[in-house]
Amino acid sequence: MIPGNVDPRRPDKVQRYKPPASGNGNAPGEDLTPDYMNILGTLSMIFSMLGITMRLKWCSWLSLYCCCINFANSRVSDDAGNQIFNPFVFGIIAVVMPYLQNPQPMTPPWNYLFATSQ
Amino acid sequence: MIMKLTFILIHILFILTTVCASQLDNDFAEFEDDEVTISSSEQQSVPPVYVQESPKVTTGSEEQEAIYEDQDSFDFFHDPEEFEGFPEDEKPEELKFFTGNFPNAHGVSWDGYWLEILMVAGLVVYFLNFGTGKSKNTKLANTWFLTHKSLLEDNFSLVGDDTTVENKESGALIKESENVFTLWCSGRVCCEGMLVELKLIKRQDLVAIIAGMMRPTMDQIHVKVIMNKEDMDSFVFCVASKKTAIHLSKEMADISMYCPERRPGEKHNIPSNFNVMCEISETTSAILDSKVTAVLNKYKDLVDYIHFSDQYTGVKQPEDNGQLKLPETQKVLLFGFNIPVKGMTVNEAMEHVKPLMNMVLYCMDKIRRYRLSKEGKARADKNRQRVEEAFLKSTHVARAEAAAARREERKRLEKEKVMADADPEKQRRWEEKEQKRQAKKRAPKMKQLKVKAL
Repeated sequence: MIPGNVDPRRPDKVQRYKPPASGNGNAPGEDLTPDYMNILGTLSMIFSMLGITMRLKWCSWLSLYCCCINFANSRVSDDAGNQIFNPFVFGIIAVVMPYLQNPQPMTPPWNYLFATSQ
Repeated sequence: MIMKLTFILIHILFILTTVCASQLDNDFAEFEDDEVTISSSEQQSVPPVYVQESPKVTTGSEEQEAIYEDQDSFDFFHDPEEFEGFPEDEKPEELKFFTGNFPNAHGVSWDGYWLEILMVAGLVVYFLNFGTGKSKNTKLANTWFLTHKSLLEDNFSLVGDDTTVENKESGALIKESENVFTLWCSGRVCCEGMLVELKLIKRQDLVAIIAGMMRPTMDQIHVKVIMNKEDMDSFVFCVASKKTAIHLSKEMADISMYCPERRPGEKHNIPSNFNVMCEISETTSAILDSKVTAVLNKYKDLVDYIHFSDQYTGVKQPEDNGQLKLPETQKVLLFGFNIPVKGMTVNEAMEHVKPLMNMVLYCMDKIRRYRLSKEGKARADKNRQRVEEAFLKSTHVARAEAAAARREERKRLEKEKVMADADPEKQRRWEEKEQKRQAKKRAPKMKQLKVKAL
């Protein structure tokens, strides 16, 4: 409140909220978030593709985890539902498919490493 | 909504993995049978397990039959020669033994699936944390809003302009993501609007929480007041905690151009953990008056930065991005505060930071009244001119190239237009005209050369 006790409110000067354009950060470090999200989204896609095509179960699981992190960090906006949800479904399919084809337990990636080093 | 669907999907996943496992049961059932047959043939090699039973077990006819059937393996119990020397009354109790091959109750061991179980457990933990973190952040934001509501409503005609319909769950606050909430206030003297952004810790993301353990972060409030053009004089001023000051002086375009020099805070009667960056020295003493200094001293851990600028353009853009115009500037007051959540309840914490919002309003009115002296104003204008010149200089080549490209484009379009015309006479005339123009363009240059040669 102004010290002179004058009402500072001006109803005639009300302006509507304009959401900032993306990439125009108004606080330090804000620009980093979308990049981070893109990387995660792409990573989850790559992992799920690897999981389905190469039948690497750990890749499928990783993709599912990437989806979860992506989902938890997503921005609430109109198209967010589709953008987040598609990779999610994809990730789940990537996990289910290899197990339907071959229900053996997954071989962790370090097993391959040991196998090659020996 | 999304949460529910996600839980359903996780459920489906669970069910599918169980189905896979049951399929596995059947597949392995054949092998189990084989194992049983093998083991019965190799019975002798398996260490037997002895089970004591009451001596009168053999009286039942069924039991008798069983014993007869298994006579081959059991008859040493009934062989009197086997028990020679044994006292009659201490006759060994009837013994029965299993071969050691228990059929597995579930048919398959889950031991092999420890990684899968770990993964699913991880997912469950992640989503549990998501739920609790989300609700905690929403609670924090709502408490902040309720605490500050009356103060904001006394100062702004419009508190909370929600342009979307769906975001109604957190009242006037707009939920940008699970940890970012914004509040727009407008309709006040001297400013166009105020955007309050609550940047809370990413409590919903387990990865961020683990990262936070290594490198602690705090819940923050960022306030951006957009001033009217006529209600703020031209200067750039910033007070920030040391760490943030380094960051701001590198990142922010206006600070890095107008006042990159960081001075320690002790000289201005504020705690030593602050740095002052100021374009015109007279503004420092004017802004850091007794009230602001008192707040900075009292809340030295909670104030992250105070940044007033008439040349605010946001984060510094890379130089080679081909921009030919100076970015549009805004007159803004920026504030960044930390919320002390540790050691006090949410309500207490929000009451604790309330005086900081009072300081924001106080600063708005102060900046509205504050005017630079004549010398200060002249210096500020000079600085702005210097920056503009430097920018024009740096983009001279690019601008010349852009202008040339524009000219070329115009010519090309004109030529296309003429060529598209069916009339050959018109085309011929245009070509002649073009040649003349070219010749004219070259002619004065030749003259100049001649003059120079003479």
